[in-house]
Amino acid sequence: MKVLVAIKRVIDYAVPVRVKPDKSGVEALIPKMSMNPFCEIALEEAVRLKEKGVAGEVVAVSLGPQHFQETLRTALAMGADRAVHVSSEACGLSAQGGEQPQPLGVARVLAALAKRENAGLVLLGKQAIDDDCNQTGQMVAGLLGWPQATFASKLEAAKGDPRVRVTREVDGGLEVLSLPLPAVVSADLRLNTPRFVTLPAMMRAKKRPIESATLEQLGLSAADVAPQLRTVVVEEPPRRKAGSRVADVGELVRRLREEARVL
Amino acid sequence: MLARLGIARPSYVAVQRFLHAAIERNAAFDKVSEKDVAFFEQVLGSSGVISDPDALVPFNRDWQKKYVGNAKVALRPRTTQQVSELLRYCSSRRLAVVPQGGNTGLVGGSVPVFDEVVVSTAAMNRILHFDEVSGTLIAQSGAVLQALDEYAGQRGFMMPLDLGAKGSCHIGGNVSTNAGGLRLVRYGSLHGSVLGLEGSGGDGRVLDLLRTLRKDNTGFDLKQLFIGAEGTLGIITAVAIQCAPRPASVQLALLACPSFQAVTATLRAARRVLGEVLSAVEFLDQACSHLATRHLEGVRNPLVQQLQPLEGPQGGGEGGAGATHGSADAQSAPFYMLVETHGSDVDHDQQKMERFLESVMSEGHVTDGTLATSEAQAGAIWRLREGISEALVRRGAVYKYDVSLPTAVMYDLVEVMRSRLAAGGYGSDAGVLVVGYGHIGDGNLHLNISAPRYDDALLSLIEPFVYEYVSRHNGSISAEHGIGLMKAQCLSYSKGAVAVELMRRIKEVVDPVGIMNPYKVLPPR
Repeated sequence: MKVLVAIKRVIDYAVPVRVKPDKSGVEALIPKMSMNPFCEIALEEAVRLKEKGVAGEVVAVSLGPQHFQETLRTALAMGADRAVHVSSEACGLSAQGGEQPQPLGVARVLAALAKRENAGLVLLGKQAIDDDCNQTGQMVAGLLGWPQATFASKLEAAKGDPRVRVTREVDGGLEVLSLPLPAVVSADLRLNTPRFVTLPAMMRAKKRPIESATLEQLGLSAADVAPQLRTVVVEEPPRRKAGSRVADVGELVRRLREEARVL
Repeated sequence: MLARLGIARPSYVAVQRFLHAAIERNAAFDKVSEKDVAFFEQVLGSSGVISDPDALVPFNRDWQKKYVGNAKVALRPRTTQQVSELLRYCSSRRLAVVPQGGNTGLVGGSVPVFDEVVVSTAAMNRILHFDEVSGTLIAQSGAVLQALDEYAGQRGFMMPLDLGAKGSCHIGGNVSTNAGGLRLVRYGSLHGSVLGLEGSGGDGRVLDLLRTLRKDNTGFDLKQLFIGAEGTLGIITAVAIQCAPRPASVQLALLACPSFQAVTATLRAARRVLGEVLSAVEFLDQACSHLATRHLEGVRNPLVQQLQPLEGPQGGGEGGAGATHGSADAQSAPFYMLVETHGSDVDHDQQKMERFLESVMSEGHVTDGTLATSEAQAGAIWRLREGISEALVRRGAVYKYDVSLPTAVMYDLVEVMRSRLAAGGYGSDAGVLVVGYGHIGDGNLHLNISAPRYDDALLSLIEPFVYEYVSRHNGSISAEHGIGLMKAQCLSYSKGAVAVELMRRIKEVVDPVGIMNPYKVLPPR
């Protein structure tokens, strides 16, 4: 079974960000980028499936600007067999203009790739930490007409088994689903702890090729990945005002009535 | 009060007497009276004066629970003026004083020995000024190092020092002890990065040297006396420090080395190949790695295959969450090194790091390793190194030594101590562990002996042997931790009589009554 893993490169989650002066988005205080933590978890799960003999091949794929290739190399070092880069610049999205592929566009590309690769399972992170959309996985399943299990905290699969069992974290607790393959699964935080990459693996990954795929090859056009949503303004939330002490119950009641207006 | 609640008084009081049984309280100091407490409350307000015995416990005890004092009152001034008034008063009343920052010191220098008044900088934590062009920061001495680093980080800068205690230590304490830390090899010592300070001498006279000038050759550089004086001259109330630009590129590698020679060869290669971007080089031995992973929650060595599955919500997969799968050697290596670079260009630094790694791996100095691919992974690797101190405290009793030695033979001391203690009946069967780790880039070894309990006979095997060994090699008996109470008798192993006498004379000028942190640093006459 082939597993397709979607990878996104984002501002490292530990880097402080601030709202840009023109309020069009946020900027990182240090230009440190890394693999989206949930994508990392998805990839780790895929590699473990391969190590268990359930998956035959793990293909990592990214839709993004040129520098996304560095993260694809990390994916190869972590154990992916192949890496495919679909250039967003070639899709007409300007990296300079900060145009990021949006979930629907990404979902269309992933769906096309899943069909081309004849994937049995598509694994993604539940969301990217830069936009927090939490949409791509669901859209891929919708476009392909495949079953989906999102927010996976446990994935159970056996070699040759046509079904997988996924435990999902939901508001009320845990939900266990059984899905027939092919299926789409999105990874949540507790699915696994991703491995560190060893130096020998990193050195080897340097020498491996990263394939490219174009929209034409996937049967798509620039219109399919064009942004549908425009960010109008990004603002910081209002700063919390400092609290104040009250002298007695009378003052508390008065202020609750007159200032906070809750009484 | 504890007895009334039926709670047994902790047994560490006996530890205190054991550790410095030979010291007698200086009868020249007076005892704190009601009148004194009233004065303190008048200056600081009642919230600034702590005299409840239970509330005083954390002021009276160091974080290793090794040194315990008996202060009856702790003070929390908020301004330089208040500090000055307090010290002037204490000098006139002959009340001994212990300045205390984050109380994270490792040589018993920040807690009372007897009933000295504790003056804490905890309420003096304001950031006073930050210059975004030059990166100079001025803060009150009670500002916590991590808070300052985060503040500087928001503005594209970083503090020039970093140590495991950063979440608790105060910048005033760092400066008073001339703290070294993890990045001294790149950003230098506080003697260089502190641009100015403000403090009160023991007699209450305020010394205002608070400038942010990089160059100021106008007379003796008095601030250097306070840097590293460990609170024996006065109390630092504000610090002006040069921050460094926060690097755009940080690369961190964790490496496994088969021997100490391999460690020193890797250090040489790091200096040569990484050159100007090298920002930290640390080493730890196998025992340290086991200690940290065994005694601390969630700390693991990414290069060691975990043999048992992790409990808890993390690590849902099987077979060793977070370990590198498929490493040839699942056993831990004899030594590990952390090598970090700070630079302005990611591509440039990554290329250098790759050349360095290829070089040391092909030469066989490094048998395995990993490069952090995210801040989270970098943090996990640092926790392994930074957590060793805490792991040692959790394991049991610790005898801590912080020495400077010639790098090539640094680890010999660990092996010599191990055999010496084993021969004396304190080997691993007795539950005694001798470990070595430290800032190998600075020639600084942290030698630690971990035992199930503090033991007179064990201590007599360790000291003075360790100081004599270091002295024979012309090393320092305290590379960065300072003298404090622990090594006050041992200063002469590293400083001659003329130097020590001059130190005494200078102290007499700045602290005429001698109230500042008595029994510490300078040996008794």
